[in-house]
Amino acid sequence: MIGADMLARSFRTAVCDIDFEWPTVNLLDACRQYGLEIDDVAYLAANENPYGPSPKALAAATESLSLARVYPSPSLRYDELRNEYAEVRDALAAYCGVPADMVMPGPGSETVLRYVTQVFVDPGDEIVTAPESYSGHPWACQIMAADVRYVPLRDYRFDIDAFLATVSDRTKMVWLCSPNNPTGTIITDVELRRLVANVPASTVIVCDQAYQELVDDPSWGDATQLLLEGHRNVVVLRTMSKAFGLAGLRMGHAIADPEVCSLIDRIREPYYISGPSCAATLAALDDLDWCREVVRKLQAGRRWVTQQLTELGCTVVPSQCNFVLADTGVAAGVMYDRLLRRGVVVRPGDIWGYDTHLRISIGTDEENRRLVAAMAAALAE
Amino acid sequence: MDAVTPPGAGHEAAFRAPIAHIRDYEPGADAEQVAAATGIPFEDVVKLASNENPYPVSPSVLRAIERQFDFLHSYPWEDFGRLKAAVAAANGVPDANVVLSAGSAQLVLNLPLLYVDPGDEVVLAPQSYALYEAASQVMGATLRRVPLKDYRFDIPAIVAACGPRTRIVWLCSPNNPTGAVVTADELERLVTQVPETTAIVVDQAYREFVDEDDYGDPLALLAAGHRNVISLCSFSKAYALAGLRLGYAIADPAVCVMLDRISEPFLLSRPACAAGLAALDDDEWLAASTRTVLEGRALLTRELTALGWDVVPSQGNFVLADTHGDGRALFRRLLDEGVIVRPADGWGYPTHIRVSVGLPEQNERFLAALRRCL
Ligand SMILES: Cc1ncc(COP(=O)(O)O)c(C=O)c1O
Ligand SMILES: Cc1ncc(COP(=O)(O)O)c(C=O)c1O
Repeated sequence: MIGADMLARSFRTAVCDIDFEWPTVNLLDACRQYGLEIDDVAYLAANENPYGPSPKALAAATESLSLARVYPSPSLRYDELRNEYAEVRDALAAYCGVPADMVMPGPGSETVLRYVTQVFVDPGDEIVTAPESYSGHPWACQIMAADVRYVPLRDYRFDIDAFLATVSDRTKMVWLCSPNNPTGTIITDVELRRLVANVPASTVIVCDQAYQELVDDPSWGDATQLLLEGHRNVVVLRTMSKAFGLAGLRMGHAIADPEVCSLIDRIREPYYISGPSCAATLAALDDLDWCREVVRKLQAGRRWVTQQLTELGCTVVPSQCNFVLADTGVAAGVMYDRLLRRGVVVRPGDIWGYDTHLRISIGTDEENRRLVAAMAAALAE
Repeated sequence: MDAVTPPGAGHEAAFRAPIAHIRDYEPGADAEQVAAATGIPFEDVVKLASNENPYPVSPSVLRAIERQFDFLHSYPWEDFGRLKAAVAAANGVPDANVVLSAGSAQLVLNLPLLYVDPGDEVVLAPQSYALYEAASQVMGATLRRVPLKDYRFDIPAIVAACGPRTRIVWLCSPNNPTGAVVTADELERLVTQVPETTAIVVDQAYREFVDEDDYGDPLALLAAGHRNVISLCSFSKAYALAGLRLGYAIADPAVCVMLDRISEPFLLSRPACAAGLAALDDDEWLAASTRTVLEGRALLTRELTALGWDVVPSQGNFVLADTHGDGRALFRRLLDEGVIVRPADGWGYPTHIRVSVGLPEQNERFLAALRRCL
């Protein structure tokens, strides 16, 4: 019989050493605790898009269910009876304005970024990231036993000088997030170009642009552009989870040099994306008007929430995403509880070291009003 | 002269050395030929190549999926927990023994992330599910290949191949592509002779199709305290949900905690969660679908044997048969008839084909096409 110690000894040290847990919100428990109905809760904690996907995407997903029993075609080339993955790749490429062989779709950008680390990060390789950014980046690198170097943000923004001072020939990978989760701030084109120009070509620069569609600041820098200009070490991450409202279907992609895409292709699971996800993605990309309208509403909601919270005395970081980071001046956990009691769920900022901040996703107009009312009451407590 | 440049060769950023050794995946079938050579419409092509379940998905499952369509914008938080509980209940284990995944193949990819450092060893059979090899190689494993013997896992040879650096033994029972199982005796023997720090993975993707009494049940060994035993299960086969991507592992709670730790927080799609819950609730459908598959398996075994072929007795939803001729040539001739089977030369069986069990009319069409080809 095997004892606990023996069992633990069979795991890789790298995995035992991961110092990070994904935050889990057990909404059902929370509802029970506070006597709330789950349908009455405004869930503003996961940066989901409350308007949902195009009705055409829903219709396509429904239709695809007739094929639920069979695997999607595993190949990214057109050589099967059905060619879901190849079609998705082509559609994403057209949407992003890049050749198809520079696109690598996957079941969520989180999974794609794991593949990127599996292609490049050997044990002990140095990677550079910001502690106040998307935790999925260092987490994926820790699984591959990377040596993670953290360069803190400065005024809620990526500190390009400090990044450049930290990056060396030994740096395997640099992680950027623009706009950044949880701050909503961007890296400007000028900053991005300076960074890319001064990082060795052998260092992979991953730029997570999950929230790209929500940007309206013209100074934002698009890493895809740099990739197309010949910086082959740039990898861009995109997702259908945010502006397209398809988080529940799991679809995201990398835009990268064709060589990098073919390496990911080699290590990915053959049947990795579900059939309905492919069908919905194709239809959603065929109905960009829906997405544009949703983005317009989310940007308006962002402006309104920013203004209202500012009037309540919060310091709100100007955001280019479908969420805002707000400093309430009160301990994050305390505010989280006060809002939860009122049926509003947000993300406390302490996991990023923002001890008095909350990250609040933009909801529907009604949810935004509830948030503001709950916040006013919670701040008055 | 090999003019093909390996992927990544021209890129400045060095990719990891182990990646170079991974063989490219051979997709199920070359259906271009089907379309081009025959002009047979898609609906009429009989695909018996990917061990899918031919039985139509349960209507209650389809309804459950459609009910999710109002919530596709959100990650599936609530149903994830419910599904875990339902899977645990269906397997008679506590929730803490369950890890959910987007298809069991995802767990095959994740297990080496938990166990294999560069230079560690894994033991596997070359005539089994190909992903074990690729997934282990991603983490730089040294492969110890132990060939099957009479189409079955060679347990004494596997025990002999295990050493101090062996981190995973990959078993598949029933085995894809042979359909043979590891018996209770064999599994017990293996588990008691392999070091406890070696994970023994039993891929049970096809377990619902087993009707042999002495099938080795890894859950029984896990319950008996063999905490290094890990069972992989799938909704793709018996539950006919391959297109939705849903599978799970049953393992010791400590292993489950670690597997969860390296899984994406949102790995399942909403349709998959809802489908899994509804599927576990529809025993009648499962019984009817499984009966159809077992009858089809018996039919194919009988008919192919009658042709003078050697059919490996199968406990899966497919049969492997030695045609005593060129398997790939036959595969090509069948393609021209609009029937897709799987050539088995990739597993080292050049005279065999693997045929997934279809619906009765599909089986008949396959057999009719076969008679025309021979
Ligand atoms: C910056 C960033 N990247 C990636 C993701 C994960 O997205 P996906 O749903 O595509 O896995 C998120 C989700 O919140 C995110 O904020
Ligand atoms: C033995 C075996 N394991 C796992 C899988 C993959 O199953 P899933 O669809 O659950 O990823 C297959 C699919 O053919 C298989 O044959």
